[in-house]
Amino acid sequence: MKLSSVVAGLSAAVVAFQGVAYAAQGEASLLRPPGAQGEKDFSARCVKCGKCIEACPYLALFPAPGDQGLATGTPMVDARSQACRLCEDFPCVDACPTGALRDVEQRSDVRMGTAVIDEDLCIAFQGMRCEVCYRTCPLIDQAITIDYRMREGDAIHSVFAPVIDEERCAGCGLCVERCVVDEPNVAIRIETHAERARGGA
Amino acid sequence: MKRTPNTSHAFKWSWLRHAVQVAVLLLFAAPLLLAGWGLFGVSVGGDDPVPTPADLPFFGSLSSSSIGGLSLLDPFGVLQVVAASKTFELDWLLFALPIVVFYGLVRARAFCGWVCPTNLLLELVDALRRKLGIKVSEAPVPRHAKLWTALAVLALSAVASVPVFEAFSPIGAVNKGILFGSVAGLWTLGAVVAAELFWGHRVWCRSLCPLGGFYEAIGRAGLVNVKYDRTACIHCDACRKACLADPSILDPVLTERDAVVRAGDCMACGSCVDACPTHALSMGLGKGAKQTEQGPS
Repeated sequence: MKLSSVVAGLSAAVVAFQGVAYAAQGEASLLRPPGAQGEKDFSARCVKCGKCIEACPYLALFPAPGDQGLATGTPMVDARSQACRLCEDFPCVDACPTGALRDVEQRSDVRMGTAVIDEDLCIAFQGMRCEVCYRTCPLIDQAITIDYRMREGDAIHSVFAPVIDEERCAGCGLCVERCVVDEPNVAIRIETHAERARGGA
Repeated sequence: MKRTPNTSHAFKWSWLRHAVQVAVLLLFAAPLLLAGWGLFGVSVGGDDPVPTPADLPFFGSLSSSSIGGLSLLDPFGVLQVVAASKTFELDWLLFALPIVVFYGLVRARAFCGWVCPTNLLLELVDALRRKLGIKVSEAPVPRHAKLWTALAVLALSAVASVPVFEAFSPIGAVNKGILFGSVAGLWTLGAVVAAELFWGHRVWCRSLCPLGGFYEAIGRAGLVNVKYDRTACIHCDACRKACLADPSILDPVLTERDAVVRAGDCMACGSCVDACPTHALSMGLGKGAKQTEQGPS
C-alpha cells in the first residue's frame, strides 16, 4: 500500500474518531458565563468567537479544554481559580453576537448554577465562625444568609451556619474561590445549570 | 505588442497577499496585546478589574468581531447557528450581511486566499513538501466536494443541535488557538497537514473545507477577476501549476471559451498572474463579457 493512501486513511480516521468521540460525550456540565440559558440553548448558539472572553475584566472566562467534546473552545468559568464577579453591566453578555448569552439586566437575572455547601466539610457547621462565603457573596444577605443557632448538645456555643437561597444564588462561584477549606475538597461548590437540569450530578 | 517570455515582474501579487495574511493575524492579536493581555490564553485575572480588548474600537476573532460597536458575524457560522438552534434572529442577518456583501462584491474566496490563517499555514506546508521532494496526487477529491461538506455541516448542525464546523474547524484552531489558547479543531488541523504533506496537493482548501465551499457557492458574484489576454498567451501552463485553487478553473480561459476566470473557486490570489511569463493574465475589475457561449465552469 502506498504511503499516501495510508496517510489519507489515517487523517480521515483521526477526524472521524474525533467526531464519534464527541458524539459519545454527551452534554457538558460546565459553569457557563452569565446569560447562558441552559446548556442545550447555549451550545446551539455559541460559535466560540471568544468575544465574551475578551470582554471579561477579571479574565474569569477561558475556552473549555480539549476533553470537553463538542464544547471544547466554548467559554467557561473555573470558580475555584477565578470566579465570575457578576459585573453590574455584564460586558460578556453585551459582547455575545449570537444571543448565546442574553436576557440579563441585573445580577438577580443570572442563573449560572447554585452553590451547594458540604456540611461535613464546612468548618462553620463544626462550630467555628468563618462566614467567608457569606461576606464575599455579591448578593450578600440574599443568596447566602447566616443561620445563627445554638450548637446541638452545647449550651454555651453557637453555630454561624451559611445557608444558600437556591432561588437567589446566581452561581457566580466567588464563594467557591474564597472558601478556606480545600482538604480533602472545597466545602462549597457550584452545581451548574446543566447538572441541576439533570437533577443533580 | 510582443513581450519576451520570462520577464520578471516588478510587482508580485503574492507579496502583497502574504503581507495581508500576516496583517490579519496581527489585527486580531493586537487588541489582546494593546489591552495588556497575553496571547494563547496565558493571562490570569485578579481581584481588580483590568482593561479589556473589548474596550478597544476593534476586537474579536474570525467568527465574530466588533468594529466601533458594530458586530460582524461569520455568515457560515450564522447558518450553522440557525440550523443548530432552529431559531432565527434579525441581528444575525445584520451582523453577517457586511461580510457577505464585501466578499460577494470582491470575490468570495478572497477570504481563503487573502485572510484565512489556515491557508497561510498550508501554503507554508506545501512549500515545505516541495522542498522535501514529497510527491502527492494533484486532485484526489473533486473541487466541488466542498459544497457538499458545507451542506453536510449544516445538516449535522441541525441533527446535533451544535454548530458543528466550529467544533472541528482548523481555521478556528489557528485563529483562536493563537488568541485564547483554544484547542478546538487542533486534531483536524493535524490531519489536514498530514494529508497535504503526503496525500493530496492542497486538498483541504481546494476540495474539503466547508467554509471554502460556502464561499465557493457565492463566489461567482465577485467583481475582482483574473483577466486573460489570448494574444499574449503561449500556453506554457505556468498558471495552472501555480494556481492555489483547482487548476481546472483556468481551463475556460485557456481554451478561449471565456475572457475572465469566473469559477467560484478562484481565490483572486494572483498566483497565476505572478507566474505568467508573458503577462497574458492580469487582475481586473468587472465581470467582462463572455467571449463565447459556454457551460458552467
